[in-house]
Amino acid sequence: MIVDDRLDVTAAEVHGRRERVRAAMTSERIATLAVYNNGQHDMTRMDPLFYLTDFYCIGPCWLLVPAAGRPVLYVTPGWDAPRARATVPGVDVIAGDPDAILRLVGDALAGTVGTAALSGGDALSVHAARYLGDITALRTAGDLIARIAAVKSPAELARTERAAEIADLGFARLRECARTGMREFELAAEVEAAMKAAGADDNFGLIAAGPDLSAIRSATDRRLEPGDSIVGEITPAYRGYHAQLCRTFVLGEPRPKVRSNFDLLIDAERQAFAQALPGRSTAEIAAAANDAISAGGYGEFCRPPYMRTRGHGLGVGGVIPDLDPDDGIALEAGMTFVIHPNQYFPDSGYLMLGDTVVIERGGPRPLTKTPATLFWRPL
Amino acid sequence: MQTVHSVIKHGAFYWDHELVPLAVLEARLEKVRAAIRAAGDAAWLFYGDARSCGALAYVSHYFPRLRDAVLLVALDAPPVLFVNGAPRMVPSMKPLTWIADVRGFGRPPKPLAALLTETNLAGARVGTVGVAESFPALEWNELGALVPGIAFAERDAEFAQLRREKDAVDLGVSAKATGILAEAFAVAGTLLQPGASTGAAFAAIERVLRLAGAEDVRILTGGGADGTDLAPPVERVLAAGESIMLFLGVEMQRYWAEGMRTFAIGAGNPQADALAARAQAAVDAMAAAAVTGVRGSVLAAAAQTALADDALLAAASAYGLGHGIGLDVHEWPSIAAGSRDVLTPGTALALHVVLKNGSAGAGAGRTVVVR
Repeated sequence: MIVDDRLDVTAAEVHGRRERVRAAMTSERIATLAVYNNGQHDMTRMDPLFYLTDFYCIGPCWLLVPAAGRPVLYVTPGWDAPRARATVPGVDVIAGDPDAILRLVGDALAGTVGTAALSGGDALSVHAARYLGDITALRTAGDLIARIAAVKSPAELARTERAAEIADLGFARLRECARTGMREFELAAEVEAAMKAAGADDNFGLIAAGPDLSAIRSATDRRLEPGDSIVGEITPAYRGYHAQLCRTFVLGEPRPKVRSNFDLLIDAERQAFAQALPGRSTAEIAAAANDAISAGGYGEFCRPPYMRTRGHGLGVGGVIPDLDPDDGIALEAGMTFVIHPNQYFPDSGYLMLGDTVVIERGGPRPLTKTPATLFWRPL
Repeated sequence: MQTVHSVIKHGAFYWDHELVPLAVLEARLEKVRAAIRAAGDAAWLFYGDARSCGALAYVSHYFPRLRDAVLLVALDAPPVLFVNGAPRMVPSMKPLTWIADVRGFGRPPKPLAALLTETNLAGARVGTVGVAESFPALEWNELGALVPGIAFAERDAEFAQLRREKDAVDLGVSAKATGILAEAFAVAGTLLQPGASTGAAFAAIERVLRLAGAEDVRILTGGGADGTDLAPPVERVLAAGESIMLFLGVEMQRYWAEGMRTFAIGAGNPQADALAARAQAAVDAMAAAAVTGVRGSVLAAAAQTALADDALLAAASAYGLGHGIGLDVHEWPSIAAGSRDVLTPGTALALHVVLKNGSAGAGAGRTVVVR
C-alpha cells in the first residue's frame, strides 16, 4: 500500500542519488550505467532501480544512466507508463512489451563493451541476455550503487522507522490472535492484514510454530498446539523500505529450557548491540552474538549447518551484506540493520529475537520497540 | 495480469492432498517421461522461480516461496528436486512435494553440474523447460562451462503442448481458486463504501483470500481519483460519486485465478459505470465464445463486436484481452486479434477488459474454463 504523506522522498533527493552515482561512474570510467530489475523484489538483495527512481517496478525494467544527459527508464508492462512518468521526474520514460524493451536496451548498449557497466545483471534471464550480446563481456557495476545507498537519508530513515512501527504492530496482532487449534497460515493472515491496514506495502513474512522447531519456515496448515513456540520473522515494507522484528511467543507457560535459552538470546542481542558502533566491523556484531550463545554451552550450534548469520542490512532490500563473523565491512552512522541472534537449541528448539537498528555515533538505536523478552500466554 | 511481485510468497505453504492427489502427480511424471522419449532426450531440466514456476510445479507440486528451484527428470532415475535454501531448511520444504530426493542449494551451477555428472548425463542431450524464461544467464553460462559435454535443447514448446491436455487437478484447483475470488469480490462490495480507507479495505479483502488458503494475492486498482489506469493500490479515502476498478489475482495450491470488477462508491460515477457495463459485456461475449476448437482471435473479435468502438478497443488492447491461466499467471493460449491458438477443453482463461474514456476508467474480468 503506497501512502502519500510526509515521508515522500523528494524528486531532488532521488536526483541527488543519481548524481552521486554519476560521480562514481566518472571515477570508475563508466560511460553508461545499465540498471536492471526483473520485476521481482527480494528483501535480501538490494533493488538498485528502486533506489535511483523510487519506483516499484511491476515487470522487468531498465534505467540507463549516461555520464551526461537525461537517464531513460524503460518500463514493462506498457500500461504502467503513466505511473512511471508520474513517479519518476527527470527521466525519459519508454514503455512497451518485454521483448520490445529488450530490443531497445540492446540497441542502446550496442558497441558499449568496456564503457558500459551493468547493475542487477545477476537477475537477467537466459532469454533477456540474448538481446544484449555476450553479457559476460559487459562490465559489472559491482557494489557501486550499494556503497552510495548504505547510509540512509532522513526520508529513508523515516520510512524505515514507519516500517518498524508496523512490525511492532504485527507482532502485537500475533500475540492477540494466536490460539490453540488455529492454522499457522491463518495466524499469518491476521498479522499480515493488520500490517497492510497500517500501510505496509509488502512483507517478508515467516511464521512457524512447534515444540521443537529446527529453523524458521513459512506458515503451513499445521494447527497450533498447547506449548508451541511461535516464532515470527516479521518484515513489513513501507514504501519500499523494510524493517524486521524477530520474536518468540509461547502458547502456555514456557518450559524452563525455553526461558533459560531465551535469556541467552537477550544477552546475545545486548552484546551484539554493544559492538554496533561506527568504525567497528559488522563481523564483530556477529562474533559478539556467537560468543554470548557459546558461553551458554551452545557454541557448536552457532555454525553451519545450524546457524550462519546474525543479521543483515535492511532498507531497499539487503544493501549491506550478512552479519557474518568471518566477513565484515566497517559500520557508518546512518546504516540500518536487523541484528538477530536467532538460534537453534537442541533442547528447546529454534527461538527468535531480533530488532532493526540504525547505527548512530553513540551506538545502535533500535527502531522496533517491542520489548526484548519472551512473550507467552497461559492456556 | 502483471502486478507487483511481493518479496516472498507469504501465504499458506502446504500441499492439500485432497485437492492434488499423489496419483495425478505420478501420472504427470509418466507423461513427461513419454515426452522426453519422444524428443529423443535423456532427461529434462525444469526451472522455476517465485514468479513463474508452473512447469516445475506441474510434476513436483513444489513452488519456491523465494528465489528458485530446479527439477531434473531423467528417464531411468528417480527425479531430483533442488530447492534454494540452506540444508537445514530442506525438511520444511519436503512436505510440499512428493519428490523423495530434495536437496538444498545456494547457487545452482555447481550442485547441478555435480548431479548431471552423477546421473551419467554428462555426454547426453538434456531438454530444458523454463530455463530460457527465468534461469539467470550468468549462472546458466557457468553451468554450461562445468558440463561442456551436455547438449541442452529448449523443450518449452513440447512441454506446453503436453500441458494442453487438462487433468482432474487442473480443473478442480482452478475452480477452487475461482470460487474464493468470488467470495473476496463479495466482501469487497461491502467494504468499498464512501469514507472507507482503501488500505483497510484492501487488507480486509486480502485477509479473506489468505484465510481461505491463498499462497499469493495480487491487487491492482484504478479509476476514480486514482486515474484511469490500473496501478498498485494507493492509500486514500473513498468518496461518494466515484467508481473504482479492483483487480484480484490469487494463487492456491499452485494454481492462479484472476478477476476484476468495477465498484460504484455510493451512487458511483455514471460515465465510469457505463464503461464498466460495456467492459462486462465484452468479457461476457468472450466467455460465450470460449468453446473447444475456436481460435483465440475469435474471442478477441467477440470483444471487439461487443465494444463496437475503436477507441475503447485500443484502450482495452493496451492491457490485453486475456490469456491462459493456471500454474502460471500467463499461459497459452493468447486471446488477441491474430491469435491462431486453438482452444482446448478444460483450459482456464483469464479474460479482462480495461476501458478508459476521458477521465473515466473501468474494467471487468473473470476466469472461465473452455467448454
